[in-house]
Amino acid sequence: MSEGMGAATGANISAATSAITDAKGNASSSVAMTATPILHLADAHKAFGENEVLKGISFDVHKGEIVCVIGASGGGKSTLLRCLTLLDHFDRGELEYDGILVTKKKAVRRQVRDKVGLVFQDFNLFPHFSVLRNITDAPLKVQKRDKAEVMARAEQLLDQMGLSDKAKAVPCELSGGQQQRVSIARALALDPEIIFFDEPTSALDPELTADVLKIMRDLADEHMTMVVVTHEIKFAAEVADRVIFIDKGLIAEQGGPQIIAHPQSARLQTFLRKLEV
Amino acid sequence: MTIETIIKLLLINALGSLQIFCYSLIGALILGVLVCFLRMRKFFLVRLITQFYISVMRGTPLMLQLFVVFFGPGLAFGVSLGSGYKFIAILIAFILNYAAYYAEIYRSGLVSIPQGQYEAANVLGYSHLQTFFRVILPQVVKRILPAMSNEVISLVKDTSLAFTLGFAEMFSEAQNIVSNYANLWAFVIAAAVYYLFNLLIAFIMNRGEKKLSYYHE
Ligand SMILES: Nc1ncnc2c1ncn2[C@@H]1O[C@H](COP(=O)(O)OP(=O)(O)OP(=O)(O)O)[C@@H](O)[C@H]1O
Ligand SMILES: [Mg+2]
Repeated sequence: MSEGMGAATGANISAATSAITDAKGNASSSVAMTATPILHLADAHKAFGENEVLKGISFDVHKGEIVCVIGASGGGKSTLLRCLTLLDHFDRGELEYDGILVTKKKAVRRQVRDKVGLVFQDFNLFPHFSVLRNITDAPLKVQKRDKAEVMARAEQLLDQMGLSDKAKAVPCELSGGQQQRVSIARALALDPEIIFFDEPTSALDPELTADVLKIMRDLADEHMTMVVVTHEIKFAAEVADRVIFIDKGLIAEQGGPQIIAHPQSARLQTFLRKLEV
Repeated sequence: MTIETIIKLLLINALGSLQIFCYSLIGALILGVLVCFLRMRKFFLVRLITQFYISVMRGTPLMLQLFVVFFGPGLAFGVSLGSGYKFIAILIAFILNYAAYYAEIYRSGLVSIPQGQYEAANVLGYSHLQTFFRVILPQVVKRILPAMSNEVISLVKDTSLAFTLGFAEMFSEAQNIVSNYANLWAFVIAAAVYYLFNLLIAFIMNRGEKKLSYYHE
């Protein structure tokens, strides 16, 4: 826990220093140089017809950071994640991974896709594959990695997820919580640099939610870079280095996890109050 | 006429039925893929034409379609296509007709696969082909197998329609025997052969369904 807090202050300081780069000149610009963010998003817009969903979202995610995104239903959180994971594309704005600008070019998208993982709300496991094959198929067939290495990694992931005895099971034989853990393992097996979660526990019963959140806490402790859309406010307050509150297509407030206990803006206050009841 | 002779005559002619069945099945399975593909195109004219073709094939009697294909060229253009054309005409009519049904079954299977499967494959980096062959197709096969069983079985029975063109297959032979020798056994035995053959098909399809029942949804 104390590590998490430390990282949060670190991120705040680096954000602050890069903000005053112009004023201070060379010394601080070298600080900014060393920290190319894994994810850089600037002024992202997205509309579905008349419905403007994202109206200029900007944020960076640095290596090892855990960013939680909160906001009202229909506020565009899933849309944001879908665009960030290249399932869809922004109408306008700039998206960079490791300094690589994402364009519509196939080669670029393929290169970038390797860096990102996504965990869906409703798992989307492949029902006809065993648990093990769900985890190993993409590393073997897409990344064409060595079989022994992929298998070893899969075993280790299954162990980490507490699912070692389920390797041969098919998804329909698992509980929702177990399925979600498989899908987390599936995403991790590709060794992404950043992993996105879209409400990973909202399809789960409360007692199963805890298992999945525990896995995500473990990942946070290992400094996996994560962007988590969640309604689990307690989880966000405990685990996040940074919390982003999206309202009406814009970031209405962001900051360290303390903003959940002490929201500054009226809109975040209202949002949090509604969640309590 | 002894029962043995009847069985022998019917089985000899069953070969004709089997030929119609096998060629039509293979042809329709393949053409069905193309029709399904066209039916699902974005370009609306292609979709519209395909939809029209499917609705005509399903909305008019197969026997009438047989006649159109067989007599059509002669009536419309005055060409005579020789005696070999009979078998070809039968295959054309059967393939065109069944491809429409199969295409709709394929399509129903395809659209029933949740969008999330495509998205998961996409995020994991599967190419379009990999997504189709590794993720989508196996699930579609499982979903459409029961409907396909029905259509394959009805194709077996429909081969008897070839008798309307006087093609030598089992049913026309049974018809011959009954009218020439007043022996109703021919119908009974023909029925038994169709039935047993369909039992075999049902058995095979069932095995397939069982094999794929290791998972659901
Ligand atoms: N493919 C689409 N076509 C048209 N409109 C869409 C599409 N996807 C999302 N929308 C619209 O975009 C808006 C934002 O949806 P989105 O799913 O991103 O919200 P969300 O913040 O994830 O909500 P929730 O918390 O309920 O998951 C909604 O008004 C939705 O109707
Ligand atoms: Mg959502």
